[in-house]
Amino acid sequence: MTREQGLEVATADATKASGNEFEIQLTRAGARAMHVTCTGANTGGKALATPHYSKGAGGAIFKTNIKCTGYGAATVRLRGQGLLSFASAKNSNDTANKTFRSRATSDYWQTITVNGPAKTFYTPQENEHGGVGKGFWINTSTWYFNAAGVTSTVGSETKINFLSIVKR
Amino acid sequence: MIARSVDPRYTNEQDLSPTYRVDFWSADGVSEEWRLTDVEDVHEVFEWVRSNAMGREASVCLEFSYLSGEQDSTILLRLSGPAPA
Repeated sequence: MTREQGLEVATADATKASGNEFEIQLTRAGARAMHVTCTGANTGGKALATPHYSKGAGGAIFKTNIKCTGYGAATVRLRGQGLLSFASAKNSNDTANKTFRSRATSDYWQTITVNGPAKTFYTPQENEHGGVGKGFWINTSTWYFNAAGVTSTVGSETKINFLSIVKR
Repeated sequence: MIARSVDPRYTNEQDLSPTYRVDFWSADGVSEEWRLTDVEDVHEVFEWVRSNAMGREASVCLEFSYLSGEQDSTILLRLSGPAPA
């Protein structure tokens, strides 16, 4: 973003759109620059946890953990979209002719404090779950954030696991 | 761990009766979530965990709610065990 008055220059760095790291840089003439990075908060910068059966939810859920670091902005608004899909299988080698069907989705915004704790995005949100089943589970999350009117690039992270998620 | 002496006035609020969250994790990855209120102190929580774990690993957290921007937010602060569900 470049304003006509030449006071603000902002860039969304597409090279950082790896699914784990997005970066916005905002330079404001005569004021402190802004630089925010939002990344997966799990080991290795990963954001996704493996789907599992939650008794409280009554079925499969997964979470996406994201934290933001930097300076020049106290908070950012981050949109997280999640999708949980399933294909039945007898074992991890049973890979022929699989059709994945959506079991759960999520799509919501949260405010994240820069240099604060990680925010958790659940898929699905409360009062829903992804059911149960033995087979391949794919969970994917996509996210981007806004800070000071600037929108970051978009990335996503996906996991596939053979899991037996059964009611307990 | 780093321990250092501090002036106690860097904080501005105290909650002497917080809410706890305990998640039991079975070996097969199933989570069972509990919310504990009206708790005497953390020792009572750990005693309850010992009585109810049945061989499962337990995630013990403090629950804290605050206003994040214009949005109500509830954070789990891990005290012991793996990450909560």
